[in-house]
Amino acid sequence: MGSNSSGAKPRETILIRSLQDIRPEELQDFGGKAINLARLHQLGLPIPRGFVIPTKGFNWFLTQCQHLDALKVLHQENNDIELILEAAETFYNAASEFEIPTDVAQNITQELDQLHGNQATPQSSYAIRSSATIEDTAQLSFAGQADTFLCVSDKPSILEAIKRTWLSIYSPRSLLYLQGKGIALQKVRMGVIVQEMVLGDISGVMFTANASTGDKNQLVIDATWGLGESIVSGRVTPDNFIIQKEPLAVLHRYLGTKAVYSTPAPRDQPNCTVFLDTPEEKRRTYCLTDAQLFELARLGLQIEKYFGAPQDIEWTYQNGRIVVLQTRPITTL
Amino acid sequence: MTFEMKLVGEGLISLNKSAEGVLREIKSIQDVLTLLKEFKTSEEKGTVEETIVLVEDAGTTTLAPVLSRLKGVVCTSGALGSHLAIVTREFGIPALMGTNLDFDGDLANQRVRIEPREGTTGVLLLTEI
Repeated sequence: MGSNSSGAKPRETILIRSLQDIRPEELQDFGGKAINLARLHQLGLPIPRGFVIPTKGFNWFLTQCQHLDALKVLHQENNDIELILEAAETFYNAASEFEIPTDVAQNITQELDQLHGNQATPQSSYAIRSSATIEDTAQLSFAGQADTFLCVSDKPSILEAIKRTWLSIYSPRSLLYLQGKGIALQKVRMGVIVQEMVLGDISGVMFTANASTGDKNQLVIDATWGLGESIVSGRVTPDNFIIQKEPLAVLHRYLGTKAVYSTPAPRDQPNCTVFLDTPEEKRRTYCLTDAQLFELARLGLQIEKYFGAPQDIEWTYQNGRIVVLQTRPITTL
Repeated sequence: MTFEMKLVGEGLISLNKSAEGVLREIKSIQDVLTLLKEFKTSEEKGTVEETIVLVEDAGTTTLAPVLSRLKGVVCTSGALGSHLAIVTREFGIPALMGTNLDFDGDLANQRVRIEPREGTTGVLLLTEI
């Protein structure tokens, strides 16, 4: 079902681009998350290496689905939420049948080979992440509305995850968010990021302003063991720290329960993560030292200065080294 | 008339703002739709009740259709970096995250109040008349 059977004009070439080569003005081509990651790279900060399937890929996908009545219902202005959810399910099931065109799939495979080259190991895996044109912008976070796939290792599963990421715009939670925000679905375009998976030991979220109180002289850090998925999805109550910016000082620290941690699944369940119980002694221990808190805080200040506004940053520590996973403006100050 | 407040929970607050309303428990997208219908009916009658919802899962971003009509959210998991905290802030309402509830009984349909405290902490109070 991957070919264009309608006899319409030939499809535009879908050029995949390395994250590091994306320019700030290309928001409509690659989406908000990719633009911000590219800027972090340009700032000289460590980000996971990767590439982006441009929004043209998503456009092609939509073209393939144009004939589906359910898509027409979704693209109409409609306040009937039950009708929207019903159409979303019908559309999701029908559109799942489509396959990524062969030439695009080949390009993705080539990019994967280039990414790891001779360094590829049986453990190499990837994160497949949404980068919508409305995502991580100054007005909207779109936080957690589209799907992210972690620890995906084999190529067929990566291609499937890319398609699922496109489709996740039509998930109930995404549609309900867009409806709640009054955003027309047709305005949303989706780039997809494929990045090497960083298996962090400690991960978290840092706000370079106190978004709760509006205090721009403070940073707020959430941190937990393992991958950051457990924090953003809300599966754990992480450690929470409030840091004064000038001079750097820890103002408050709250010990989170950190009952579970996110980690790659065992080999017999490839392409996903699992939540495991955190050992008791790790639950009772803060997962970041003051030295690490200050290292993170300095990084946050650097990113905030470069982006010119307070940021909401996802980060991870892997073997004592920080990797920045994303940054977006705090939308609510 | 005197009002007494009883402390029934503590957590981290996503927005430095108080909120008061009747607590409704949300466990599924179906509960969200039911609540939305109730809001629409009561809006037509002009009898909208101030509402705060209680959820267990901070990944519950499916609350979006009702967020603009809610006064606040209480979540028993998650923290300030959870998607729910970020999304509720966009709708201008406080979410009490990672809330440790300390109450023997059913809080559903009781009138409660979310209040900010020191730092980023907040409390859930049961309003007794």
